[in-house]
Amino acid sequence: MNLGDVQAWTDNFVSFDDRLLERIAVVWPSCQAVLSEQPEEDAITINLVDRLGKDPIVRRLCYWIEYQFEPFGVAPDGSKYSKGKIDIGVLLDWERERYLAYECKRLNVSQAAGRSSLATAYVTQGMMRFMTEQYAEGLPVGCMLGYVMDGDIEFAMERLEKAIAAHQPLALLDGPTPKVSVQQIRRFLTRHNRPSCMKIELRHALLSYTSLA
Amino acid sequence: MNNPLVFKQRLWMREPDAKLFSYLLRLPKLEAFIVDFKSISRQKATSNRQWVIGQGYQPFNDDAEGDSVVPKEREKRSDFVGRLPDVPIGAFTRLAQAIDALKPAESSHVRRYGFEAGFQGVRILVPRGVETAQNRLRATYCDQSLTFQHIMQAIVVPDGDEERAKLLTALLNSRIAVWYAFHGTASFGSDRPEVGQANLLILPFPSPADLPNETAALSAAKELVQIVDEARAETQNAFAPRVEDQEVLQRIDQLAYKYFCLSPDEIALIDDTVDFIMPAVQPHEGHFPDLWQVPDAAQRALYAHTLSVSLSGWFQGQNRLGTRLMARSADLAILRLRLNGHEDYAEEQQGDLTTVLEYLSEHIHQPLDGNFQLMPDLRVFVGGCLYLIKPMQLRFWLRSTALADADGIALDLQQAVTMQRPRSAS
Repeated sequence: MNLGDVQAWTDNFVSFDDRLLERIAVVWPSCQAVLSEQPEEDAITINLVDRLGKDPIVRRLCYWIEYQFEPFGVAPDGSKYSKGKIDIGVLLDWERERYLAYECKRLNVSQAAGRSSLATAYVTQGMMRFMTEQYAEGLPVGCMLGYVMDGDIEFAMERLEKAIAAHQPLALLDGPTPKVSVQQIRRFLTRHNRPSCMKIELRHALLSYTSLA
Repeated sequence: MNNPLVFKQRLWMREPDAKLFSYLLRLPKLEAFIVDFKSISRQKATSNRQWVIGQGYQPFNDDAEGDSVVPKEREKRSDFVGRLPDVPIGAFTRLAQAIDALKPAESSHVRRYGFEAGFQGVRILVPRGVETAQNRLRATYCDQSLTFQHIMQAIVVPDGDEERAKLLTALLNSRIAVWYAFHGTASFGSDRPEVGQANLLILPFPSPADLPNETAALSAAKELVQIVDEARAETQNAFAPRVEDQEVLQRIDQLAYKYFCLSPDEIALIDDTVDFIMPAVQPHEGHFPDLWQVPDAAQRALYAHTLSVSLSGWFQGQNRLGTRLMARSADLAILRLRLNGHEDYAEEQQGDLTTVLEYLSEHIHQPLDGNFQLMPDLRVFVGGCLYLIKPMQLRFWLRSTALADADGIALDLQQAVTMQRPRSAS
């Protein structure tokens, strides 16, 4: 039970996702080291989750970190069903409904025809899942991890800004707002009005697939 | 989640324990390579090509079964029991079984033959009961022919896997094994202190490659195997130097922690559970568990230090938070944590509980006259200081409690931060 004013403490507080991102930055080089030059998104995420699950600091931070975490929805008849698979679900404690969702997307993928930014897919198949509450239902925060496959963070950022601004269903309240980088991980925030009228803050982190190797 | 142990785990685990449990839960289990002898054919059980587990024989009890007429064709005589040396549970020796003084069972007449392949060859013997004096499981490596009753189980080891068996023997004797069994098996902690065959197989037994630091795990494994070899040499040579049992067990614990790559916080969770929680699980008349005692100054200091270090990671630029015991009585104490305070833990010798409570009450504009024994997690924030009002019982001052308190404070602040943000965004 807490009493009194917590402001001085919250002003200095390092949020959970900031601390997790610090650990992602630590394990990221070893993760890249075992992967091919242009791995699939799932291969990256699986190796990232495996390393995070073994990291002693992450072990103290969260109760469970799960690849393809399936949150439950409730049907009108009261039965539960799977709402889909979130790339990374981080359970902070025993409560299954209290989790931090990470949707992962590749960006700047080299293809035969040249480089594809995949910024539109990041928005429509990533961020929108938080908007529809398929992910993080009833929760105020969600996270996006962008794997920038050619290491060109500037190009990825530029394309993402355009894609976010162009997609009206995102109901953008503000952002993209830059956040202080964690090591070489570029970060920004966006805030949105969900159709349910509940606001959500999306915290984005762009990881260079080459520069940390 | 489909977890039949949820009530038991909620009873004995707090959040930090649950986090450690979830780490160990992910690791490969014994059931991944050990099969129950009942599930395979007799031929396969004796083939020495796979790991098989089974229980010892059940003796025929004349007194209990004499009334019922046992037909001649159902009368069972074992080829092993009564011929080979027999290990009663009282003669079981940890790590390496001594057989010099053992005699065969008086009769070869048995009620059940048991797992006869477990009477010969290389195997690990594991009694079902938890040794409550030590709060440990017991396991011994054995390659001499002997029989044993169903209170023990044998894990038969295939040819070529002897080193791995010695490693498993050592790990089963460690505090990690009993800690995991306490939280992860059905009986121990809620019924009898025992770990049956099916429950034994859910204990984690990763290979070094499964662990975060393979090099460290390999090095620890080598030393653990050596400990078992030393114990075997001791049982075979009456003149070999004997290492005290406690010392060996402590060495095993340290190496097991290294093998599983546990952090100091995680080690503290296990040590507190084995030292303080398990002995208090079944209180009985005339026994006053340490957990209920008043914490001494050293225990209070350790709690404060653990809490300070564990919380500091959640605040920018803090290596630790300042800690000070502001006042205490026989029942309660008030601990102050201070942001940007780097002073070492100290206790106010003249601190008066009522005065501090009045000061806090004045700052939060509400009375503090509740029953603090019923609110063991009461926290009062005043500016950059956080006051914890805690009952003076050791269970509230363990290192594991400090870790749980740190998690609780961090989670509350995380929620407070999240709740503040939408207001500022709108």
